[in-house]
Amino acid sequence: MIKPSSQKTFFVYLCLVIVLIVFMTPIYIIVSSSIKPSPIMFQKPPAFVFSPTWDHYVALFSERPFLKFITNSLIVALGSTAFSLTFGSLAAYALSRIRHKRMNDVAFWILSMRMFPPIAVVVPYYIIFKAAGLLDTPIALIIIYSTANIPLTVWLMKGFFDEVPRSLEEAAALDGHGLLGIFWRVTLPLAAPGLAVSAVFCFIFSWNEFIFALMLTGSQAQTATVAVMSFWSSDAVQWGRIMAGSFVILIPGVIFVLTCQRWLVRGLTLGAIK
Amino acid sequence: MPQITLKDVAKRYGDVEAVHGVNLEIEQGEFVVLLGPSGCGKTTTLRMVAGLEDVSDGELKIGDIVVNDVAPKDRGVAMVFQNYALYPHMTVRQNMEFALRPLKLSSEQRDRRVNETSAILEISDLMHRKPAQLSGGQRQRVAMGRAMVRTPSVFLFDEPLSNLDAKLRTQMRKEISRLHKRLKSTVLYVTHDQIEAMTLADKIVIMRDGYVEQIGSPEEIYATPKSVFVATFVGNPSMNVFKGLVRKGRILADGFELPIPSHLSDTVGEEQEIVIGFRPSDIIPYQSDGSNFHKARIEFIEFLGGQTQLNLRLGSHGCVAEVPAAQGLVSGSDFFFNINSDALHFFDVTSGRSLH
Ligand SMILES: Nc1ncnc2c1ncn2[C@@H]1O[C@H](COP(=O)(O)OP(=O)(O)OP(=O)(O)O)[C@@H](O)[C@H]1O
Ligand SMILES: [Mg+2]
Repeated sequence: MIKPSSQKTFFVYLCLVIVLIVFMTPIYIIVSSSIKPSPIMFQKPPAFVFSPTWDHYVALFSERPFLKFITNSLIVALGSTAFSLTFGSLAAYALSRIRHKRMNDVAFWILSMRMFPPIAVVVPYYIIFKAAGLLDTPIALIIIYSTANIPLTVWLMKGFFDEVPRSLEEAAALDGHGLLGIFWRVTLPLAAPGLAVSAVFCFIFSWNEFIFALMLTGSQAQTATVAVMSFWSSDAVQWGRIMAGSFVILIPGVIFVLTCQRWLVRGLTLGAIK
Repeated sequence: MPQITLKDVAKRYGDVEAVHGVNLEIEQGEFVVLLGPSGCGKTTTLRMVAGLEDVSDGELKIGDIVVNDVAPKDRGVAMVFQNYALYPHMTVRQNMEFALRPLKLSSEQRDRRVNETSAILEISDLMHRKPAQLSGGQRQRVAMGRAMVRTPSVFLFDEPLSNLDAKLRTQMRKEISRLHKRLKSTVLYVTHDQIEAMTLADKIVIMRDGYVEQIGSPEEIYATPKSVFVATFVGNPSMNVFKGLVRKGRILADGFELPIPSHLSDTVGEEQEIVIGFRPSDIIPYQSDGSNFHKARIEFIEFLGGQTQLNLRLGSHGCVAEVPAAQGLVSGSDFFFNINSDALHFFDVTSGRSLH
């Protein structure tokens, strides 16, 4: 006889606690360090009880135009996400619906874009954007991030589109709707969870990206990730500032994921397509 | 002028021809049923009419316009799918409004049509629900409602009742029949259920392996089947068929023999093999032996309420008879009977075509 044993429950919770500790420790360090006065930052053993200070946050926004960098990050991340979702899902729809024997090759070709080691193409991109006058602009980053985000979106969305029954589109066609209307009002809403997943991946990738942002932007289009690292100079590493910046950077990502999560759940509970 | 005309319409998938040169005319307001066993090309034919499949060969006309290359949305047809294909992310009302959207009606007109249709189908209470919150029968009604709001000239149905239980199926069958009488629209209806076909159709099209076997009213199909296939496919229990040999003015079959009917004496030659068919209900039982009666052994008896179905062994063949219930019959005993000679069917052995 199987009882809902308290032993089992205990182990489930134990595992959860271990996982949480592993994931939350860095967050704790970020948060606590960002409000620790500098003198006790590296005290051993670490100080768990101290009177918090907002100095690092104040400095973050006063010593640097950090708000501008955050805005840059937002423009780049949202821009690339929007661009990738638009074109990625259109491409995915075509891949999912057009029956042709070479369609798989096209799909793999798109995926292969993603397999490039990014560092290998930094210099060519630099030269191209310099020639095009796009250095230090958000557009440059949007383009580059989209080359990585579109393949991902295409593959994710193709899976979701494959799941949408053809008969719904056929019904819509017989209801008098054209291809675009069917895509927009029937297929895409039913693949909304896929859009949410894609959006999360695209946004997080673009938001966190560092190397391209470092190489291709200067004072104008610098993103928050790069800006934070500017507190790391050869003279001194201002850990308090870096941690405060890291925490600020975390927030938009969390908000974005939570927003998308609502869609995810909504999509999953749409229920039986019978 | 026929509302829908199929002229030598064929469908090929790669090298395989699924539908071969179908010819069919459907009049305005007519209820036509495509009937046939699984895989015979009913759905394919229907989908060609809907515009969901390309026509590989031949000519398809709606009204007097050739629609081979016309998109589904411009054909003025509505379809009820086997799996209903309701939009799961829309409520019942939105499902119906979605079908009206391309007509660009004013919102009052739209509401009026949706409300009228939902009232006819008795789904007014369900308007705010999503398809996932409906029972099978309710989904069926909504699917019909969505097709009806547009008041199309042609309705296409692909086995609309096959997902329902027997009782609901009967009820919806009556409903569809009632709606057709009321709307007087042209209907092309696919089913493999012969009861649906018999009760609903003005005209039945029997299909087999991508060919049309026979077109006719339910009565014609039942009374004068043009081939062995139609004869055995339509009718439940199905027609008994025996091989017979023509010899000296009689037809000799396994276990019984018959005189050649006069209308057949010119068509058949001596020593010709033919197929004899008669329906279980055309077997007339006799209580005792007699020279004019045929004799069979009762293998087992199935009581079906008003009727009794006898499974007989006639010669070396099985044979089914349907007789009134109270007969005092016992399995294992002999059964004497006659066959209603007006109800005999004769077919050619090789082609299977009727000899009448
Ligand atoms: N997309 C396709 N590709 C290849 N062959 C197909 C395709 N669709 C249908 N067929 C073939 O065409 C023939 C007719 O199919 P169809 O779906 O019209 O049969 P049906 O009469 O509707 O049968 P059922 O009663 O089982 O629905 C079948 O032999 C089927 O295998
Ligand atoms: Mg079918």
